Amino acid sequence: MNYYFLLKNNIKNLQSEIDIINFSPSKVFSKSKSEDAILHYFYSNGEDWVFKDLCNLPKDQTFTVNENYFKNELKEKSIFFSINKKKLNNQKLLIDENYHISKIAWRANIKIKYKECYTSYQGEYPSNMTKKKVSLVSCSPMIQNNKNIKNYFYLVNLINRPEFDNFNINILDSNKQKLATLNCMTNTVNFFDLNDLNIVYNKNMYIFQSTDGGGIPIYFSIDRNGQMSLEHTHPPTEYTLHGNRFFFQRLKKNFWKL
Amino acid sequence: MKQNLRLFSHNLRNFFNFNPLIYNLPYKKNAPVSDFFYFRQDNSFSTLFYLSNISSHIFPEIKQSDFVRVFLYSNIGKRIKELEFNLEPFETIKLNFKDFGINEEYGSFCIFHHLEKKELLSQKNTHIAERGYTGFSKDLNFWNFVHGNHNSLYLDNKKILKSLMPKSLFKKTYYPQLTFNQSDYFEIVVNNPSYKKILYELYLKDENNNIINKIDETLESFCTTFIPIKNNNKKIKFIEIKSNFYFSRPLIFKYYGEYFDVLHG
Repeated sequence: MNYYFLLKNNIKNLQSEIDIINFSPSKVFSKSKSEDAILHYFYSNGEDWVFKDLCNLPKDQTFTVNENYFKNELKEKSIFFSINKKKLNNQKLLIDENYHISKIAWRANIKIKYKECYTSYQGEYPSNMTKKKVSLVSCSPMIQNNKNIKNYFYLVNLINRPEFDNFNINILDSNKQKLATLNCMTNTVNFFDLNDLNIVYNKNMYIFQSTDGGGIPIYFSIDRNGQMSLEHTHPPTEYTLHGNRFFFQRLKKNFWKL
Repeated sequence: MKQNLRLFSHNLRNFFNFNPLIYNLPYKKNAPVSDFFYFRQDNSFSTLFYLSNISSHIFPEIKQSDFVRVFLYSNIGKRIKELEFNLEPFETIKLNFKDFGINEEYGSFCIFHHLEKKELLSQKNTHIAERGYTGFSKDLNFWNFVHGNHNSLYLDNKKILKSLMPKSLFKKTYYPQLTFNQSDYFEIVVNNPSYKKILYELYLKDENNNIINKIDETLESFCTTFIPIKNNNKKIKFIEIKSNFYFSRPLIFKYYGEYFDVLHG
């Protein structure tokens, strides 16, 4: 199954929002069929996964939720979502239900809102990523070098256990020169202002790398007029089609190890 | 022989709708694969693409140059430009479409990488795939990015494009997993990376999944279109796309006043 998340940040006037969708993108490629379900939000308190039901989510329906919904209760928490067939209480490990089994991922529309404008991408956090040790190599050309543009980086991490563990991400240039290190936590929507790092972003590609942890790398930019861009980078396997793609992923990750 | 049998069995699977593949297999070993990316220069839009040495992304230990061919197609499916680039190891360049001297308002393009040392690709039965990052801008300062959407085409030995988009005898439906009722105008971009005419049926639906309108678009080979949808009363919440492609995932532009959001549906 897939989990979803809010891209919360600490920027004034920006809000995170998500369209959670309870239907498959393609009946041909999806083994799972849409079912009546309960939409939960969940977060870690460090010892348990705290699950709360948000609403009933009938089959083929959607639910849109804005971070304002959680404002008072959970201001500092990273909020995740799951669509479950039964109501859940607190858990020691994440629940991975037999749902969202599909060749094409069941995704959500993950958005950032400024005034009445949105930027978004189609995303999900697959449960198989929560069960294994993950690392990161994200090659991004999406950092915009302009004094009127602010660039930000999200690293969404979710693991099976509710513990908060620290790990580092290095920002490298294509010569493997380390430019900065970011401190991340597991089970967190980590958010960084790339303008605070004293880097002159005059290259066309930057590499965000970690051997200790990983997740979904997402790049967000906004200019002073409120134009926004939001997109994730492909995992290394997406540079190849068919065959043993994970062989090439290993090569790439080994190369960028420091 | 083994390869041909594998291809034949995959094609049968798609034909009979039995555990179909999302993308067909290229008939040629090592053939480079590309999305059929969208570009636009209408209505003050500009397009940018970040082109990287793909060898450095796949096997970075092997330092080699990357010879790249780019083919641009107009909206009516005419090849309007062929470009070639030679990228040094780890090099990434910006392709700004305003530099190409093309008058077409919109269309599609594909990018094929050619490497000297590609034995590892053969050994692992895999293909290079270009699904990189396109930026769209209305002021040439701020770029709104979206990554590649499909593995649409491959280039064979004779430099002929071959489609990788599986087709069915019967129409298949794709359901974009997002809502449209925050925006009073949006555009659905579809193209046809194949040699046969294709009919797209676009269904516009309200919050109760009732059909409000249906729009048909016929696309000849290598054509591109965008379907403008006015949603002034914000009644349209969902869309569905039907075509003979198994996987009709569109590119979507949603407008909020003078700004826009671009994403794959």
